[in-house]
Amino acid sequence: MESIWQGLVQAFFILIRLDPEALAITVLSLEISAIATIISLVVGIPFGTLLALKRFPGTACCAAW
Amino acid sequence: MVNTGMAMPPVVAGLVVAIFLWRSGPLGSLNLIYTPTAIIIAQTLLAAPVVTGLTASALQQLDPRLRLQLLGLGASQFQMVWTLWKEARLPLLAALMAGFGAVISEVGASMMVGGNIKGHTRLLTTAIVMETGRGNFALAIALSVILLAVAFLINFGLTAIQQGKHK
Repeated sequence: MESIWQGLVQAFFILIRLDPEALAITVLSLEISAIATIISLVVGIPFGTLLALKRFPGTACCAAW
Repeated sequence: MVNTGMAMPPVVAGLVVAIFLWRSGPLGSLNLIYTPTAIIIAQTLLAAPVVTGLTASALQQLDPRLRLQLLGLGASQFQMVWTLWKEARLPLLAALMAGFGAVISEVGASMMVGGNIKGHTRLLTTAIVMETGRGNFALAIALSVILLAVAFLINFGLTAIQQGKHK
């Protein structure tokens, strides 16, 4: 229990002094996730629309498989 | 294909991307393995099926007569699709949130193709795995709090937009 409490206290100090390494990791995480999400939207929304609106041979297979 | 893709285990996506980008692999000459670009590729592979599937179901929820009416009123294909997207904007925002939620919290694929290299490909999730493994719980807890806060803030912001437009 003692070590968990110490961990929480230390974590609090890392957070309030805005540790530069933690900050850099956070920024990189956000950048990578944002770019990946945007590409997914650019690819996924048109493809999902096609899937919803057009009937073509293999639609069911394409959607479910 | 899409629905299975939505349940794609991150480690499988990571393995596929790693095989392709490996130095001796088909795309090895691009030197992308263990770069942020490799992580983006793997995460896109995970999130794109989620966005595709949720977009398809969002548009299928709309009344099919709306399409016929739009086309009957003389809308072009493009105008028709654009109107359907506007009509389905709330579930489309949910698709965005689901996609982002999948990539920000994902750890397996990022670890495999990114390599958790300090200052280069170390992400919140991969850093938490490493610090926990080292028994360095203080930093792991701090990073987890940041990860939760980031995920919460982004979803809070998008939900605010979603509900705001709803009124």
